[in-house]
Amino acid sequence: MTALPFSAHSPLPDVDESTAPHWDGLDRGRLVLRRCGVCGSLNHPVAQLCRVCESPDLSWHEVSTRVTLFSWAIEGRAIIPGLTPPFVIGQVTPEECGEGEVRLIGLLDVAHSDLEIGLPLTLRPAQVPGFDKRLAVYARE
Amino acid sequence: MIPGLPIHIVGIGTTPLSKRSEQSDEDLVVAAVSAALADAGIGHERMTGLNVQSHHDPGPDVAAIVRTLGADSVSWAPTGGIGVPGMTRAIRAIAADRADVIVVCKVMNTATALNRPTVDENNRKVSGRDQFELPYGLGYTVQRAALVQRRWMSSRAVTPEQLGMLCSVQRDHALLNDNAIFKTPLSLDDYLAGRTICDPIRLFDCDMPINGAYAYVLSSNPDPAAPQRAVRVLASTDGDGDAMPHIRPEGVGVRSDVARIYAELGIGPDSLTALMLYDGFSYLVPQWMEALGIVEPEDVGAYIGDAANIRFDGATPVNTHGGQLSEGRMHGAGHIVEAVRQLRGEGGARQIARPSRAAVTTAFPATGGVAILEANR
Repeated sequence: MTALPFSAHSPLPDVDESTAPHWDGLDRGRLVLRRCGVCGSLNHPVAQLCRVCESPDLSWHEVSTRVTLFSWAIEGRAIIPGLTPPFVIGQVTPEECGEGEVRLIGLLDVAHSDLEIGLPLTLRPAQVPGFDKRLAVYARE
Repeated sequence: MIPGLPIHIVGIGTTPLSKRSEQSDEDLVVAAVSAALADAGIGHERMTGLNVQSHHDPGPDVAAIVRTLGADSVSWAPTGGIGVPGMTRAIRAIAADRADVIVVCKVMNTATALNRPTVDENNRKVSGRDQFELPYGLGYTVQRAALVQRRWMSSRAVTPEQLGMLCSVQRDHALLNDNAIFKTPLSLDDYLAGRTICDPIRLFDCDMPINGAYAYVLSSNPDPAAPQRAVRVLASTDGDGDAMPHIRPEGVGVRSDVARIYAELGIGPDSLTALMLYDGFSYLVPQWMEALGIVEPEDVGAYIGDAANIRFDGATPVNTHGGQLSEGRMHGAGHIVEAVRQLRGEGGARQIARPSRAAVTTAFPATGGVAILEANR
């Protein structure tokens, strides 16, 4: 376990009707993404068109909380106000799609020495002061 | 392919580069444009298009620049753009008869400026797609590049020493370029001792912010007085300026662009004798080498790790001006100007052996632009 960087001043998502299903999902401990009604592909929460078939027929869909580590960056600088360095920015792929096809950003609660590409991780949403929902943190099972 | 090619680059002009801003945007642009037109042997009155590209807001006063230059014939003057995609836009304007002599000028005059992520100061809220990144600490280009670099290095087993060799060779090139901002060598040890910016990106993996202006002149006709100094643009692509490299599939758009260019021109990567590859971050250079088919992904680390491959006098000369890492960050314009210089045979102490055909690239390989330039001699 490592310390998470959140504080009462860290940035928060401006949740609106176009993004609420994702944030409500995290608050329930679930990962909720966009799925294409035509070809069935999973898409990032910001997708407007399906990344595979370009259909606009996207709807919210709950996937498992299991992901694999696609990449990570270790930020040691205090460049984001309210976030205390060092912290590990992770880029993860949901279990339901091929490696890297959908890349989600979240913070990692993993010892630096354990980090490796392809590491299996599980969603562990974290509370942040002043936020009524939760943010995505990924940790080892 | 754009109709009307080949278009010719008939002049280049540069100001000195400085770490601190020493002149106004307008003075820098006027100096570089005047130098480029003088190099082309073209009077200011014959310039019918001017594209000023900057990286700050508000940008330069283009109307004042046109007045100062006495360029009364300018009828095409969009602002903005970068490197190869910017050149493509100007070529399209020539092909559409919007202008026949266009000067493209990049000015950098805010060396310390950052693109800060936007947070509502009243409630800490982040809107748009940044809401899925900034709350997790991801807000800057170098961080996104760090994610891409980690994945790329891991998937090809590239070592820091191999990337460091590329940076060291580019610095050696800069030492042969009087306009380069760096004046001292960069050893492998110096590279490895550079502080971490965002792990895995080290200090010397990042390009060097500078101030100055670089310009080049595009024309539908080579200058009849000195056609051997003209350089032909055989191909130039648009890129995709909107996409974010860390969530794009690797190299998808660029690979089809490159394949199409090679097929239409009837050439292959073996015919490229100079590689001016965008290096806002060092790892972009080997990524571009892969995208151009210069080297297979599994061999790319060993290739850049051997100076004999990438030096100006090596097998595939890379960024012979020093690139943005060591000449300075001109956002793609430096690569175009250097390609012209080399293809004219005016590379001086760093002249390549076979100045016939160069690839020039801009931005991230997932989203950027590719041009093929050829000597007219």
